[in-house]
Amino acid sequence: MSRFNFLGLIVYTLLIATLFTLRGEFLILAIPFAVYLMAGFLFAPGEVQLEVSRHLSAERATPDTSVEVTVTVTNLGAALEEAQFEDVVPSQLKVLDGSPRSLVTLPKGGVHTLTYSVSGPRGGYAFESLKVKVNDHLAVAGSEVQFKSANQLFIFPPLTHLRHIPIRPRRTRVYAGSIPARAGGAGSEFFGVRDYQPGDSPRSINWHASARHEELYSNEFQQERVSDVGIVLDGRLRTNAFGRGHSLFEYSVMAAAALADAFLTQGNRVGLLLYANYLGWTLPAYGKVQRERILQALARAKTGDSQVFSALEHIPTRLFPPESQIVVVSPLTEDDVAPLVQLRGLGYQVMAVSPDPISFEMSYLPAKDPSVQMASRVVRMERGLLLRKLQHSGVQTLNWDVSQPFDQVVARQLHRPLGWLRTGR
Amino acid sequence: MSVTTIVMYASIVVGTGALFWGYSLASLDGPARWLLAAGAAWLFAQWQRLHWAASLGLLVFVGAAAYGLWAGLPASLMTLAAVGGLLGWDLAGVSHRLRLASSTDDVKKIEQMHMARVAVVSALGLVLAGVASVIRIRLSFELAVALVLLAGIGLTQVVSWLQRRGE
Repeated sequence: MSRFNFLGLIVYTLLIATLFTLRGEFLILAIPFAVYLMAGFLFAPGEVQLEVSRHLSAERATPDTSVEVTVTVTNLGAALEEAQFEDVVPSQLKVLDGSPRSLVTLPKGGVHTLTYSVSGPRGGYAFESLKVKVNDHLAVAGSEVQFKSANQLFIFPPLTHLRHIPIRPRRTRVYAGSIPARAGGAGSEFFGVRDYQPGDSPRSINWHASARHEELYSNEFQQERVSDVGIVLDGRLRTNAFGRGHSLFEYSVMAAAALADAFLTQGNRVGLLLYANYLGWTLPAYGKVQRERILQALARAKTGDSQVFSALEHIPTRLFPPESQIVVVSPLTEDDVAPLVQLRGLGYQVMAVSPDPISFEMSYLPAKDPSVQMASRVVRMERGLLLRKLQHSGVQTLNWDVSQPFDQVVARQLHRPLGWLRTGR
Repeated sequence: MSVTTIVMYASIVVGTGALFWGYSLASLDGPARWLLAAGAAWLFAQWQRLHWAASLGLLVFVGAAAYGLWAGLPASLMTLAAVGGLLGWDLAGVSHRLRLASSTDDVKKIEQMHMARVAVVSALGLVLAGVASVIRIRLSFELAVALVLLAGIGLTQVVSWLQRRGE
């Protein structure tokens, strides 16, 4: 019940008591309350006319870094005796310093600034409105208004910069890049020998072959081009969630961000598919704008469960150009082998980047417990078998122990010469 | 402790004291002790920052003052108790609102302006009540009708408010 209604009820009760008992004393008792109510009405605030603007010190941040929010309120209407401002902060953000609330007296034309800083976990956060509650000093009459002022804050996953990632899709695009295109032309890697053609540089003549066959032969180099890369981020709850509220998803997101950044830096066309309780598709494109789009999609990515997408077999292959590169970032389960092998069978070059769930679980389980040790040995063998099955099917695998930095693991495991890829399988 | 809090506690103490004294004068020792306990409970609730306690406290004070007037206890003490309750209720609301202010807000200014206004309003209420108790008038039929109409309008407002709330 509002203060006005509460006091009004007291006054009218006393008035009715006066009428029923015909005793003026009750009327006397009502006088101070009536004076209070009238004073409240006399100083009641008029129409609230405010101009609200919000400024964020950064619209993109990394987890747990501080972002300063400044809200400026200008009073365009009559003076406000008591104005209470509350900036609506998204619930997952934590206020580190200052306060999103303020109680002030704002004269006509007066400006009030509210400053506070927030931080939070990965996500996309919308600041939408400022709640304003105005009343007179006795708080008898007042109103509550929400002023729209939209801002967005993206907290991106931490970005690890990776060096060149060797991939070898069967089909490349026409633009020059860094991926061997299985076609002769200008490049740095030897591709083959062909008949000398007028116009060939004398430097390209293969003198050994020419001397042996008494005809001139030229060396041919492999063209290097850009390619289509589709990153599939596994957001299924059943593969990412572990006991005691632990989740591998943040690591998967981090890996996907690092890979997307690296592939885009190499000049490739990159798309992202979030495979969770729905399919979140970021259309493939090139460059910095695409990097921003992918990071925004990753900032918003969440795990989810769905019966339809419980297995990887529903990855929509029509989203990826034929014979392009697909990178699946997933902790992987036994059921995921067949769909990945199927992708390989369709002609895609598949790379599985897998945050290791066993070493992750062992990091918070009692390692000295014999039953835990035994269980870990069994599941480690199972996982080893799973990864070997994938490798035998031509799927490039990267097993990532998340206690180690991702860039180091990539450097160690992916920069080996990919002999089996050179065969063009 | 802020000025608002000190004056709030003082108002509740004054209101409780006035009720206790008034009831004790009429040798209503049992109810007087209960009212003393109610005042103490209100003070304790405010100390515990129980926001709802202020409205309950005011209702108890007004109810006790009205009953006191009906029982023929001194009108001055009963009015003082009601005004004490009103001040306690008002200042409890202020201290609740001030708690929502940030550390950089000019709380003292708001506090001072509020204290000035509530002091004027309470003083005016007390003076008018005092004047009304001195100048005794017999309720004429016309005045009674006017009061009935006023009460009727008020009741209509209350009913329409309750209906709006129920929708």
